[in-house]
Amino acid sequence: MKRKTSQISTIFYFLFFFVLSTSFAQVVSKTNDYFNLKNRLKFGNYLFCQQDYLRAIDEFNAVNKKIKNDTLDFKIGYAFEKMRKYDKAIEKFSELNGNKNLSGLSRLETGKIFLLKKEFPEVYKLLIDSIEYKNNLRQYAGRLKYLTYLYDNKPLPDSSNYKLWFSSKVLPDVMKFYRRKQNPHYKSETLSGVLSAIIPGLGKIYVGEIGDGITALLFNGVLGFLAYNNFKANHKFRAWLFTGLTAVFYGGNIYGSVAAAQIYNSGVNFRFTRELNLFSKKHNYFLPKFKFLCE
Amino acid sequence: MCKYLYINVLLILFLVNKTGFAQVPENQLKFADSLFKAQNYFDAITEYKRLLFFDGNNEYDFSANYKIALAYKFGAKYGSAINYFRIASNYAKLPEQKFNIELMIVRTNILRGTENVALQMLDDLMKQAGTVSKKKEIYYWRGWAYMFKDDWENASKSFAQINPNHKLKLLCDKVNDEKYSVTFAKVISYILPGFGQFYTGHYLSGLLSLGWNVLWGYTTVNAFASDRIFDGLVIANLLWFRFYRGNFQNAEKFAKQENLKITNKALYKIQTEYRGLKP
Amino acid sequence: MTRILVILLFIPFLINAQVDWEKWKPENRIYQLPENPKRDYSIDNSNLGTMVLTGVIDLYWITISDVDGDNCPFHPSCSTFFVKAVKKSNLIKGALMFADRFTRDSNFFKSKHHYKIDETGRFYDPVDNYLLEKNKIVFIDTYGDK
Repeated sequence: MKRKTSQISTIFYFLFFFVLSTSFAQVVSKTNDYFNLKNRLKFGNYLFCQQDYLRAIDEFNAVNKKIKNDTLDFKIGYAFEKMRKYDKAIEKFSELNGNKNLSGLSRLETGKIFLLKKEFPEVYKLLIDSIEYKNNLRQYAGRLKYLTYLYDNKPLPDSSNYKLWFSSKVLPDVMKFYRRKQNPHYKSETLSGVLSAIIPGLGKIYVGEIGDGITALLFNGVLGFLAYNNFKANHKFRAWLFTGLTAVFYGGNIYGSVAAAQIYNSGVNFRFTRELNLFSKKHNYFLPKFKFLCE
Repeated sequence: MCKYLYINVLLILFLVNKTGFAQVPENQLKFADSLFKAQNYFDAITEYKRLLFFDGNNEYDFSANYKIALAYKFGAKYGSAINYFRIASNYAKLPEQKFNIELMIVRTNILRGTENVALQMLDDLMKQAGTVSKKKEIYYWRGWAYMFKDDWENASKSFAQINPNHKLKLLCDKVNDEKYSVTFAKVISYILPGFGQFYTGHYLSGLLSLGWNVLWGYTTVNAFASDRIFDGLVIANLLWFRFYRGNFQNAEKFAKQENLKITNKALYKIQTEYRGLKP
Repeated sequence: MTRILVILLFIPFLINAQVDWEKWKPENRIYQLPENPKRDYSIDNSNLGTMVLTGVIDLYWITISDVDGDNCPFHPSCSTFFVKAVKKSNLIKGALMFADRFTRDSNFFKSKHHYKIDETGRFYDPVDNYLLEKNKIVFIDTYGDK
């Protein structure tokens, strides 16, 4: 009898340990399986920090399918933004609208993307109720909104707003941009055209294209003189030919002076935007910086 | 009782060893290789990277980085390919491996269109190369670099170092023979306007050049002959000289244009018909 | 110092990464060298005006422009500029634009400070910037980096 129980107990023990050992082995093998969720997340984070965003997104999505994770959604949106796939980023960020912790941040990021896309009305629409933001995010929303005004072609808001939102550290720089936006050093297109109508080439000189202006004056002078000379010598055909040419070049110069002023002004805008871009990038559009454990 | 425990511990170790540690990297390598073989290079790179990331023993540092470089090369991402070749080179243990990687970088440079870098690298390799077979390999890729650089004469010389009757050497010689002499086209047009164009087969352009030059040459001479010096100077400077310059510029342009056609025909032939090793 | 080294080590990775921001497929590298673009001699049949214009320009190109040497420092060349200007606006505006371009071409003092040198080695001067349509102007920075 006793022997029998000991036999049963040995069988029982054996089975117990066998089951235990195989299940333990499975656990171990799972942690070493490259495609389990934990490892996919680990690998995705590594790729993300390497800026290999597209591959990182694939990993995150695989994890997300099994366990929905809002932080991952945010990271996916952020990766799309970094790859300049703005529409996909906006879509991803909008999915976080209901999230308690991330909705504010994702809306800020969306605002930045609209600014980068130059869709300014969308930025205002998104940030207009910045009061809605939690206290610590409100300041970001406000700064982003007033930064957008510097990019936009709408009339600038009162400068007191800027003093309200920006810290004294960056305010002088911001105000420099504000003043430049308010009084850009444009050249008047009308004045340029009128000047060239009075003295051919003068409009071009006013715009800064001195060589072109002098050439235009010479051209008109020589052609006009030839026309006059031929009328005087009674060479009818040649006289009218040169008159016609003078007219075309006279008109062309007025036209060109207006065009030159426009190009000059577009250069003023270009340089302003470029410097503002550098400034904004340096301060990360005044948004919070995310390190995502990459540093 | 103790005996069974002992057996079970052994069993655990066996199972863990089999499923947990040894097999996974190998499987991962197989998986990545299968993607690579299917020419799915983008995903293959992902899997090689995954292997590198989890490979605790740094067993695959060389082979996986090398495969990543190759994948980038097939995708014509030459800058990335060269970067990964360099990483793989750092992990290479044998001098033979290092030499081969240097040659791969040379080949990538040839494809990228930075042949001068490739030639410079080959010069450096030549200084270290010991064996004849290595030297032959260097000459071979030097020839390819010159072919891509459109320098068939030097390409021919390089291939001749391997074998005076090398298939590619003969092809280079043929291209050299077929090519027009740019200098000849220019010089003959200096002497006889339009003839450089005739030489390269551009008859209409040649005739027009000849016509304009005869016309303005004649009027210039005529003006000087009848003592209208001012007219002569104006016509010579503004018209004759202009067309004369256009004439020899065109002779040069056409010769270069035709030569480019010959080069491209040859390069196409090498790409489609030549069966040897290619960059 | 170590920090700089670490950053330097990572730079190639970061550059690499951008290559993979789009999924790419294997690419067959074609060995042939690029050939120079050729002039478009085709005649525009869309209406009588452009037909005559392109016909006259073609005749000018074949008989004169192609054989009188490389004179135009601009890209597009003056005649091409004229054709494009007329096509994009009308004959009168096109003529004015051409007269302005011709004047600028005759200016001996133009330099790379006024125009950007493009891949053809000429001063880049597109028609769109002279249509008097502000939103079409693409400012070409001659000093800056990009």
